[in-house]
Amino acid sequence: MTKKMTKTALISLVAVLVLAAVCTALVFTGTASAATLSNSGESSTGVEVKYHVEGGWEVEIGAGMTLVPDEESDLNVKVTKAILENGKNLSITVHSTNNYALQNGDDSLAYTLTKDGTPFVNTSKETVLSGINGKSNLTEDADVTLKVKVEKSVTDKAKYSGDYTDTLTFTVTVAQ
Amino acid sequence: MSNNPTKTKKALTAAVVLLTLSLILNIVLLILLIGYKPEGGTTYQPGSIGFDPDASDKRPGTVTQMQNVTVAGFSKLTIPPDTDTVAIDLYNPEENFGLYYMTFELRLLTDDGGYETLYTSGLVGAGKHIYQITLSHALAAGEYSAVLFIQPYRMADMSTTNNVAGNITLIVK
Repeated sequence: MTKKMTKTALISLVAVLVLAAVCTALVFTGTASAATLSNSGESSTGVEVKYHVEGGWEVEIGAGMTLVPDEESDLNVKVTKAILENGKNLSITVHSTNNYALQNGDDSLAYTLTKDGTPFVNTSKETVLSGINGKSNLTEDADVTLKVKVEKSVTDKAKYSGDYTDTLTFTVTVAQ
Repeated sequence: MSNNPTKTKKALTAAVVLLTLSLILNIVLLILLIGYKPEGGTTYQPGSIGFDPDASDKRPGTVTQMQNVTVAGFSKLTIPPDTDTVAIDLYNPEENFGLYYMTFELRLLTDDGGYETLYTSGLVGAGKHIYQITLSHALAAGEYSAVLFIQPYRMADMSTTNNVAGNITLIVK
């Protein structure tokens, strides 16, 4: 019986010692970690900081004019603001409601809208300005003066009194 | 008696003098009448022969220019799905103060080359913004091609001017 008790006591003692050693090791590691934490000051917590810039554009266009036969008139188109996404460019095209003719009822008077001497035609929307982006800082590249003219030989054939009119639509597109 | 011939001579002389004076007076009166200029009138008498002083060469025509109009837009609009209430910023730039009102129309482009109107504003004065709009109907999630059509109006007579169409990508998510 004594031998059994001794054996049991020994096994118990060894178990306690092992347990104590494990606990000590754990505590020591935790203490070391705590020491590391307190010494290094590292943190895994992240905070997102951001600022949003709203995109947009502003363009200045000739609102309209009353023409004099055989006299050329200026029509200005200008980009005054262009805050665009990186890599994008702004372009402007023009389209005439009446295919570049001044209309009064069933009568019309053809006129010309030209850029650098080349008349626009309505088969497709004609480019007025292109390649405008924020990097250009809206220099003279963002400003163009078109010319509008109606010939006296055309206006002399007008059938009716009153206003002959047309409307120009400028289309703004931002793309790659 | 010798006085009779003298009297006659004197009478004749007086008559001649009177006639002469009368003629001179009539001429003076005539000149004054021709020279008379009624208020607002001219010296030219209608029906008489003479050049009208108000006649001049044909005036050359002058081109009448409207002042430029400034229009603002954007290329992309993100909106939530399945709701017709949209946050946005539509505005008439302050540069148009005293000159132009404008209206805004949001058009959804359709496959047939036409468009469907999602929203139309009333007149917006210069410096004013619209920050929320109600669409004609909600949109399902996805990407759509649209146009923001901006029409300025002259404040002086409410006539329309040249206008601007801004191409937009509608992102519904």
